[in-house]
Amino acid sequence: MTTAYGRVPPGPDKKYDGTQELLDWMGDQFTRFGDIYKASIYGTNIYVIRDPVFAERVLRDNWRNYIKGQAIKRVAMLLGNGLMVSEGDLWKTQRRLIQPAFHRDAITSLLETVASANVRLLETWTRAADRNENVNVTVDISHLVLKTTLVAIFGDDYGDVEEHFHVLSEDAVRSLEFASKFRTLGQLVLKVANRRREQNVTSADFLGMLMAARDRDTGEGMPDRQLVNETMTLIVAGHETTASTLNWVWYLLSQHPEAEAKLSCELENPGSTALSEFGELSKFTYVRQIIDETLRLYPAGWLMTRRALADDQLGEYFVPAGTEIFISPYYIQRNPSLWEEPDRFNPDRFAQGYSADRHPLATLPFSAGPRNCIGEFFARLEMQVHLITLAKGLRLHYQNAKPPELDIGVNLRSRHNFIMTPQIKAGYQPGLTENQQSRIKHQSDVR
Amino acid sequence: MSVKSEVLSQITLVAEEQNRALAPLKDDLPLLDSGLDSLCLAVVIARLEDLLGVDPFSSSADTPFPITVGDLVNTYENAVQ
Repeated sequence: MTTAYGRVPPGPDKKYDGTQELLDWMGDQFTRFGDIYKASIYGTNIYVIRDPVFAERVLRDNWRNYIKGQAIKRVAMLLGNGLMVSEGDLWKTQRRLIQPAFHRDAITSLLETVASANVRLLETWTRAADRNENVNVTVDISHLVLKTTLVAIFGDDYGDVEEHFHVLSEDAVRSLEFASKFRTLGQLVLKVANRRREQNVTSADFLGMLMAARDRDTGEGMPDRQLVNETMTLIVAGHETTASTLNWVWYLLSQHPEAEAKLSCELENPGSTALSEFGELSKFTYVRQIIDETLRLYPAGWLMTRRALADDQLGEYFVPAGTEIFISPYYIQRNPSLWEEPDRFNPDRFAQGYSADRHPLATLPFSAGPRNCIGEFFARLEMQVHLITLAKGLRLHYQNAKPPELDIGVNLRSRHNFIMTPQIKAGYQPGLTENQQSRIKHQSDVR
Repeated sequence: MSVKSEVLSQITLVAEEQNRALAPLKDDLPLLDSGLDSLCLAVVIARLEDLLGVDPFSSSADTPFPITVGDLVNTYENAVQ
């Protein structure tokens, strides 16, 4: 259809009525109408897109024209007006205040915390393997990531807050009941902050950095209300997306023995297993490829929503002010015009030089542009350390004959927990140090 | 239209649009039992922000999470004042 201002994208006459899962319904409409369509979803007229060029226009080139869409209210109910939700000057000030906490040096200092938590999980799963017991990968990883997230945020106060935040890994359903429970935890954050002030404690953890941050123009710190909002945002954003991605990593590896074998080969290489310095991580190129491919197939943030403040243009299509835009990383990253065999797990897609002409936003699991995920670097560090540590000693076998079902909420997760059987890899001897492991492997290779 | 009527009307409208059976909207009805899920409530909050010009959940970390329909109405009445 064409108006006086330009073309309107094609789309279904029938509005989305909630009887079909939204993810499936959106996919059906892409098949019918192409990479952009107009639809009525939740009573609102929405442009739904899976073209990275349009995503780039909204998220990068003309990002100031777009605020977060109405679905963000679901996050706001939980987290208040934190970095994910806020707009305008508040967002700009907050982003500037928080950014230093995510500087590479600050994150790298957390490497040891992340590594030791993963070594403990390796020991737990190795004991389970010895006893021929299954492990609940979803729950164990959720606890692991929650712990590293809380330690990174609360530092020495971790012990005081830990049990209260277990609701994140124990309540599988992100319902109104969950939101109601979680929102009350803001008071706990404030309690820790107030105690630190009373006792004059300064700390290098995220909370300490947020408390110490001063606006470079005004010299003012963050109001308590905002401190709570931002801390709660870091907890949820830091936990759920990383935990969900690692959950899928183990499932995908269990279904693709050829990728698992290639990963084992990379991890067996003597001299490449020390994780004492951040620079060591870059040696594990296939680990990174596996994580990138998992993020492509199962991006935790499967849907981003925006609302146009003023008229705009997406290619030949006119976008009137007020239009809601749904950008789906899930569908961009499975768009058949961008990806060969888009539904197939193939980490080699992310090998250097494999597809140099790919659009930069053909993958956007951490969003893109000025409002991208501030914690991407930390999340990637956590995921790499986890996979390097655990997959060096173990492979996991998926126990359910049925493929997993998706749970489509704010984040994309597996509907059911992944119960898997750990198997100790040949040549791996639990209890030995990394150097001892490498030496034994090297000697057996020489023989 | 009063704030209360606006809140109740948006709840009813969103539930209709999403084919959800809605329990009678009394003040003491727990939101968990109303038939709305968290996404429906998010849409209600977005619509009310357009209509009333406030979103009490984004603007204050102190806003308690509403337990009942009456709590939700009170939250908006206080925010509008």
